[in-house]
Amino acid sequence: MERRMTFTQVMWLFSLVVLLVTIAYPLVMLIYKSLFGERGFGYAYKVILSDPNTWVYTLNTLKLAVVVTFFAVLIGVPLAFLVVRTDLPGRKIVRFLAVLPFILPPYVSAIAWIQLAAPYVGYINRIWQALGHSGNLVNIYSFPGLVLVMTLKFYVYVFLTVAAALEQMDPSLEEAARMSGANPFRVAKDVTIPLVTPSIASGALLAFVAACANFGIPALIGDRAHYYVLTTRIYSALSIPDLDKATAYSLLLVVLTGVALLIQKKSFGEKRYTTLTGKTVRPSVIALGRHKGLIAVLVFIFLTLTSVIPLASLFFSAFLKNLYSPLTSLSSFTLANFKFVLLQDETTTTALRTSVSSALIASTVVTLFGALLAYMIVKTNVKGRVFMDWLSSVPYALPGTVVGVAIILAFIKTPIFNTFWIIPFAYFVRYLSYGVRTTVGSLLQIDRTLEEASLMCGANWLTTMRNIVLPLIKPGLIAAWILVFMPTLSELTVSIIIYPPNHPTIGVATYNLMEEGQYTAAYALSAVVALVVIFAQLLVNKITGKMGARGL
Amino acid sequence: MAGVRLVDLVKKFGNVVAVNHVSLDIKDGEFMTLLGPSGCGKTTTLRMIAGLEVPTEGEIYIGDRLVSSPSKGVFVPPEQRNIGMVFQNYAVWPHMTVFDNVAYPLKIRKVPKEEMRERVMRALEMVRLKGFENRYPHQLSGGQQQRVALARALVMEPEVMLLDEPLSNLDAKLREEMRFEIKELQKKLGVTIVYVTHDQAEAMAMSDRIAVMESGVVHQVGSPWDIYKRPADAFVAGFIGLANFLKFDDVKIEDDRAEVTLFGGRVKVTCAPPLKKDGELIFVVRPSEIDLLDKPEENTVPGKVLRATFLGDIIDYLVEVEGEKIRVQTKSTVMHREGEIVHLKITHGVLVRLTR
Repeated sequence: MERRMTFTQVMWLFSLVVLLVTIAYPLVMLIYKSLFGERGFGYAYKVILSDPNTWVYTLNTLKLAVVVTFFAVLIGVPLAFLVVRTDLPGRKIVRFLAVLPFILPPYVSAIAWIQLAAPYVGYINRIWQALGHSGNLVNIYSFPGLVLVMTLKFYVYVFLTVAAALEQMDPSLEEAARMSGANPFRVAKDVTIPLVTPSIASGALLAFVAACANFGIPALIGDRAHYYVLTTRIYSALSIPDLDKATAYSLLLVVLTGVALLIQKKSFGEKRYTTLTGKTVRPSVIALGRHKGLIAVLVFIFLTLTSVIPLASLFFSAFLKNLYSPLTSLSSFTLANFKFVLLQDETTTTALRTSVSSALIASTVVTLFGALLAYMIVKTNVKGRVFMDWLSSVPYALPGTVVGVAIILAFIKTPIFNTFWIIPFAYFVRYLSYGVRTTVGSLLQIDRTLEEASLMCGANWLTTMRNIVLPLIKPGLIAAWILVFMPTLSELTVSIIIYPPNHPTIGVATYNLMEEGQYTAAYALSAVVALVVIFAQLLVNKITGKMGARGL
Repeated sequence: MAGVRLVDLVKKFGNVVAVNHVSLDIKDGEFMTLLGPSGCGKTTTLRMIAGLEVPTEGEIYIGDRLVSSPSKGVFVPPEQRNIGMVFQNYAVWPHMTVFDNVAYPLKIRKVPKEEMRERVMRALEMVRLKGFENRYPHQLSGGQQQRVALARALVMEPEVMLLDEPLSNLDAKLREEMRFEIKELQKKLGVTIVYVTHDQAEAMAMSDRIAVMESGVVHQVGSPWDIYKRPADAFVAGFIGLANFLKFDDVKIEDDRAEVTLFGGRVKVTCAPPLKKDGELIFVVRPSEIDLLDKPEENTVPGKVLRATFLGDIIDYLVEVEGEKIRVQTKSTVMHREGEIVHLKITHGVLVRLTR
């Protein structure tokens, strides 16, 4: 036991130092630099207060997020209800199609919609013109376009939280209302809706935060519509570079998302509404009756338009020689785009190497260090473990753009800054909470007595770790690794802020191809990313499905 | 007030037959318990009475009103059946106060404010929850939540009340207390109660009649006394209380009594005749219906004590007699040791059918 105490102490010191240097220091620098910037005390705040554009960008961010949240609730709540509580046919497919846009990186979704609905060259407008009309039917480069792409991405937050609440709600709560004399509509009004309201609010706030913090969609669509939000303005401020302005915008963004997250945590943490009964319940299913067919057709048309067509046409476009090629001729199609991005172009091939190695390094380090932190949080009572838990989760709660700015401020003068290593380092900071949360989940499932039984059998602490704890949390560790690997492989938001000139990532390379007008190459690269991400998601589903609810 | 009549009720879930041709005639004001192990179809039967499940076949009448009949295309939805129901997990709405929970059925029925208040307070008083009306469910204990559920079912003065294992989530002491409270309330209000439980002690303590169910069928309907003293078949005898099942050599059955011969003719016991005389019979003797003697007498059989457990007021024995293991419970006046030879005297018993 003596040995264990000292070992824990060493690990404690190590973790604390790592967390302080990699997470606390950049965050402190962000606040410090906003006060004492390059141009004197309080300059950043003077910028906020004096420049009318600041308010324009902030209001733009707010307006976009509010409208997106509104539509996210409008789509997410009824869809969750249909999937969980009715006899809608094909509910599993509906669930998959609803989540599909969500697992794609935002910039891939944006690109998919751009090639579908761009003026003149988008398929929708080409069909429109082929029908004899002039001009454009739709223009993705607009506020409604921005809202559309973001809503279809972020309504999943509302959909999933409300679906979970509906699934976990004790059906006898509703049955009791029926027995009291209420008809099904009255039951929905008096019992079901009030009980899922906290979940709707929670999902809506998550969608709001995601819309505020997103970079890929406003960067690719918003900028061309001259609709500027804080994340895209931070990026342009950095390319000037105007660090003070970027810092000031970052703090505004932190306030916006922070307030929403606090409200979310409060409303969701409220125990009063917990209706979990601890036993498995079969949610009561409402028969849609004679409207069943019509509702099913409408749902599937909606999901085809929002999930299937953009993705399918992205793959289609990736084979096009150029955007103006006639779609009727076989000679318009080519494999050259894939060959170009995967083999020939120096920038994209470097990006592939950079992203793959960064993702490999980041996910491995996050899994190992996350497991260590998780062990200390769950299985020991060392000082400051709650603080360490909290600190490790902060960078994921913050907008990625802000994390990027904080890392610049903290490490710009260190030797690692302009090297490849800054990328896996930034990913580590950003995604550490994935590793911690997943392993904490697995460890919480292991009863203390399992370890104690091993100790009583004569095994020491290390042997117990190796023989008992590690095998039990292995599925959790694998899941954590993939959960970090997937988003880091296609990351854009943080990497575009911190990437060294000769080490672009896949996200950065795709974004630059779009900016340079090499659309078909961008489509090909996006298609590859989409394929990899969907494949990885299926793999995760398989692994997590096997281990049940453990840790996830 | 009204009784409940089930006629040839069947419920299938896919290929699984949960309720298999159940007929029951529950009288007005009667306390009827559906008793059986989990999965026996008792809850499904109750939910069909409530209207929360649609029967596959058969008919349900509440009073004279036909409420379910697939063949006649009749199905009255639960909210129009005027039945009070108490659920196993209380189902008290967490977003409403105690008052609002109990007032809900009256609100639906558009009862005027003054009358509503009066009736809610009366219902709360009945379940001894006066003074709690402004609390939220999360501020109440499990027992108090169950009383709220009870008050909510009572407040609409239903003709029939359904209780689905209402006490199973409470601790032992509270459970016993609530048994008597529910029974008292029923006596006072004269309401017809259909009660579902797997706990035989609960069923015995409260019911006017018990319907013992297993695998979707009703084995026997009768008063607690009849069910215990005159079980119809081996399942009922085994489910209600402890029972030894003994093969017999010979039997003589008359109208009001029977005589069985056991253990190679050495033991003759006069016992109750079987309820139904057809089918294979088996002799049932409760552990308390056997005396252990030190010396052989007429009509006794020797056995060896395999296990003796002192339980305070009684002693529980396992005795081996000619290769059969017999459970015996005696008052704790003397205690036989393990390995000792004792002489068993069977004082009572009952003949039952081996199968239903």
